[in-house]
Amino acid sequence: MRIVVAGGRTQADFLIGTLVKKKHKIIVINDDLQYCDYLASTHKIPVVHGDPSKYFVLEEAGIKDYDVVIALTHRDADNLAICQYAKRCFGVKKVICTVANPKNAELFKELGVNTVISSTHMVAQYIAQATTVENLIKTMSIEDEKVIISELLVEPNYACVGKTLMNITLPPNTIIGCIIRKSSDMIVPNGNTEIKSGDKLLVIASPETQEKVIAAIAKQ
Amino acid sequence: MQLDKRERVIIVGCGRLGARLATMLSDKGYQVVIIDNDDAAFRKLPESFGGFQVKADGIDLDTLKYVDIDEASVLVACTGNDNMNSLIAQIASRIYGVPNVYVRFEDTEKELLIKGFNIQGIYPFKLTMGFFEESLFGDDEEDEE
Repeated sequence: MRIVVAGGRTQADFLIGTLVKKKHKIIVINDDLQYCDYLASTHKIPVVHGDPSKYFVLEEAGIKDYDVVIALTHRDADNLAICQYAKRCFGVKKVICTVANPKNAELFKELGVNTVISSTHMVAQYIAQATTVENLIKTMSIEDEKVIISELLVEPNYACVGKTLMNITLPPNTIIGCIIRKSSDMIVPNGNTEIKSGDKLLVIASPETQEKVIAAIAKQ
Repeated sequence: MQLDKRERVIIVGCGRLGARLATMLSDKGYQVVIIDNDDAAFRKLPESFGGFQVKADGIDLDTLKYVDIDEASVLVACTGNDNMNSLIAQIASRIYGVPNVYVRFEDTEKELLIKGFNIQGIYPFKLTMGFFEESLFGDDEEDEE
C-alpha cells in the first residue's frame, strides 16, 4: 500500500518502522527539521519537511491518490485539516488520525475521517475493563468497540474447572474462542473440551455481554 | 443579512477582530457571546461591553454546547489558528446547522476545506490584494470598460 504519515514524534517513528518492514511505500511529512533528519536517516526513506496541514506542503509531497493518510500531530484541528485535504483534494480513500481530546473522536468521524484513535479513551477503557475482574489479564476491543476480546485466567476454585464447554452456560453472543494451556500451545475448543485450572481463556463478547460472560466463567 | 436583535451571535477568538466585532454588535443591542481560552484576551473589550465572556476552549464540544450553539444565528470563528477556525466553523455549520457561519483564514488555501458547505470565508490576504489592485489599477480597469 501507499501510505502517508503526517506529523508525530515517537508514534510516527514506531509506525514508520513497522510500515517499512512490511514493504509499504511511504511518504513522511514532518514540521520539525531535526526530526525529519532523524526519521530519514533511521528508516532510509524520503521525508518532506513542512507543516502537513498546509495544502501546498501536501501537494509538493505528492500524496495524490495515495491509499492511506495517517495524521499524528499533537493538535486535533491540524489532524482534521490534514485528513480533510487528503480526502477532498487528493483523492485519498482512507484517512486516519489521532486525537488528544477524546470527545473529538465521534465528531471527527462525522466530519469525514474514517478512523479516529483516541489514546486517552483507549487507556481509560483499558483501565476500566482491567479493574472489573482481577483475573482479566488483557482485553482489547475491535470494530469500534463492537467486539471485545478478553483474556481470563482460570483459578482452581472456579465452578467451571473440570467441566466441558457444553456443560457451561454462557450468555448469548459470547464464546470462548481459544484456550491457552501451559502443556500445549493453544487449543481451539469444541463442546467436549474440558476447562482446567490455570487455563487462559480468550473470551469474545460484545460490550454489553462482557461482564456477564466473565461473571459466568469466574463463578465459584 | 437582516439580523433580529434577539438572535444570538457567538464569536470564537477574542483577538482584535473578535473583540471589535463583539463590541460593535453588543453596542447595537445584539446578544453576543465571546469565547477565548485566554483570560487576558478579554482586556480588549471595553468596560461597557454588554455581552457574555466565556473563558474556555472554543474547539471543545462542551464549550459550544454550554453557549447553546444550537440556538445561535451567527457564529464567527476568528481565533489565531486557521485549522481551529476551520474546525469550529464546521462544527457550527455541519453539526449544529448554525445558519450564518463566518470563518477567518490567513491561508487562502484553507478555502478548500470549507468549499461546498454553508460557511463564508473571510481572507485578510485577499482583501489586502483587492485593496492594492483597486488603488493601483482600479481606474485603468474602468477605462478599459
